[in-house]
Amino acid sequence: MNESAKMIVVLTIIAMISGLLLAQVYHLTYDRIQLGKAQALRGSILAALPGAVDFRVIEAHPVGGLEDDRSTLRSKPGSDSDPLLLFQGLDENGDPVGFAYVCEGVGYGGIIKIMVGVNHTSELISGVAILEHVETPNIGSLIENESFRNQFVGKGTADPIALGQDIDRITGATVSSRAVTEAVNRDLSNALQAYKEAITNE
Amino acid sequence: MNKMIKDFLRGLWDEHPTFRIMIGMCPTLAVTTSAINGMGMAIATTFVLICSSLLISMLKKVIPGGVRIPAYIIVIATFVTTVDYLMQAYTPDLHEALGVFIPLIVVNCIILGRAEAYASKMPVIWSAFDALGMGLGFTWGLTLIGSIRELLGSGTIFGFSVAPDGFTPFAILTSPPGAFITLGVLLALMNIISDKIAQRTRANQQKTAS
Repeated sequence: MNESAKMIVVLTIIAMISGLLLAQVYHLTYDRIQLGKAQALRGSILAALPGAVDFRVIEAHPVGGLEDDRSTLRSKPGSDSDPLLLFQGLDENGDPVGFAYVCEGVGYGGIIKIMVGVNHTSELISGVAILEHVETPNIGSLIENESFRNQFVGKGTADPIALGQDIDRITGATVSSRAVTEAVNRDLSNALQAYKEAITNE
Repeated sequence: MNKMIKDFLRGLWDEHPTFRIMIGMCPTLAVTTSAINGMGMAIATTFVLICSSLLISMLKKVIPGGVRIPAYIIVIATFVTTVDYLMQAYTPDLHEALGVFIPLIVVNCIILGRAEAYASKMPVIWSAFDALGMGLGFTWGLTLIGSIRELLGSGTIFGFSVAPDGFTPFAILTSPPGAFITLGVLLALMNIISDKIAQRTRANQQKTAS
C-alpha cells in the first residue's frame, strides 16, 4: 500500500472509532445531563414562586403577538409557530400560586438569563432568579445575591421599575444591574397578558 | 528506572508547564478565579493528557508521519468531549463555571506538545509517567494561582470563608489583570528559589572538587 493511501485509511479508521466512542459516551451521560438540567430549572422556578411545590408548563400562543418587538420571551420575535413557555407554580392543593417566565438581558460579559415569578392574584413580582450569566466574578456576579434580587419583589406593571429609585445599583456593576432591571421590565406586561390569555382559553 | 522517575519529576519543577515552559497560558489566566475552578480545570486537563499520551504512544507505529497532527487532534478531541459530557453530567456547577475552556482543552499546547515531543517517541509506560508528571505540575500550579486569587480576591478558600472580620478583598485579583499579577509574582518567586538551589549545588560541587 502506498503512503498516501495508508494516511487516508489510518485517519479514517481513527475518526470512525472516535465517532463510535463519542456516540456511546453521549448515550451513557444523556439521561443524567437532562436530569440535572431539569432539576436546575425546577429549583429556579420554585425559588421565583414562594409557596409553590410543583409546576406545570403552559404553552401560550398570544393572539396578535407581543406588544414589544424587543421581547426576549420567544426565540423569534413575532413568529407564532414557537409557543411562549410559561411555568405555572402550584401549591400543595394543586391551586395556582403564580407563573414564571424566562427573559434575557445583555450584561457586561454576555447574555443574562433571568427567571421571573409573578403572583397569581396580586399580579406582582414574587421572586427573581438568575439562571445563567457570565458577569465579572465578585462584581457583576453579585446580581445573584438575594439582597439584589429581592428588590424586585412586590413590583408590578403599574409603574416601570426604575434603576436607581426602585432598584439600588450594585457598586461597580451598573451594566449588569441595568441589564437585569431592563429585562424584567421589558417583558413583565407581555408575559402577564400572555398568561391571562392562556388560562382563560383553558 | 531512575531515568523514568527523573522524567516524571521534571514536570513538577524543572520543566513545569506553567511556570517554566510557560505553555497552556490560556486556561492558566482565564479560569483560576477560585481554587476549585483552577483545580477542576487542571484535573480535567491531566485526565486528557494521560489518556491521549497513552493512546498516542500505543499508536505511534501505526500513524503515518504525514497525518500525525490531525490524528493526535482527533484522539485528544475524543477525550476532551468525553470529559465535557462527564462533567456536565456529574459536576454541572463546575462545568458551568469553566464554560468554554473545557472544549478548549483540545488546543492546549501542553497536551499536543507532550504528544509530539514525548509520547510519539517513547514507550507506553514512560509516556504515562511523563503525562502524569506534567499533569500534576499543571494541577499544583493552577490550584496555587486559584487559591491565591480566591484568598485575596474574595477572602475564601475552596469556598470556605477564612478571612478575618473587616478584611476588604482585593477585587482586582479575581478580574483578568489579577491573573497576570499573581502569575508574575509567582514566576519571580520561583526564579528566586531556583537560583538559590542552583547556587547551593554549585557551592557543593566546588567543595567536593577542592
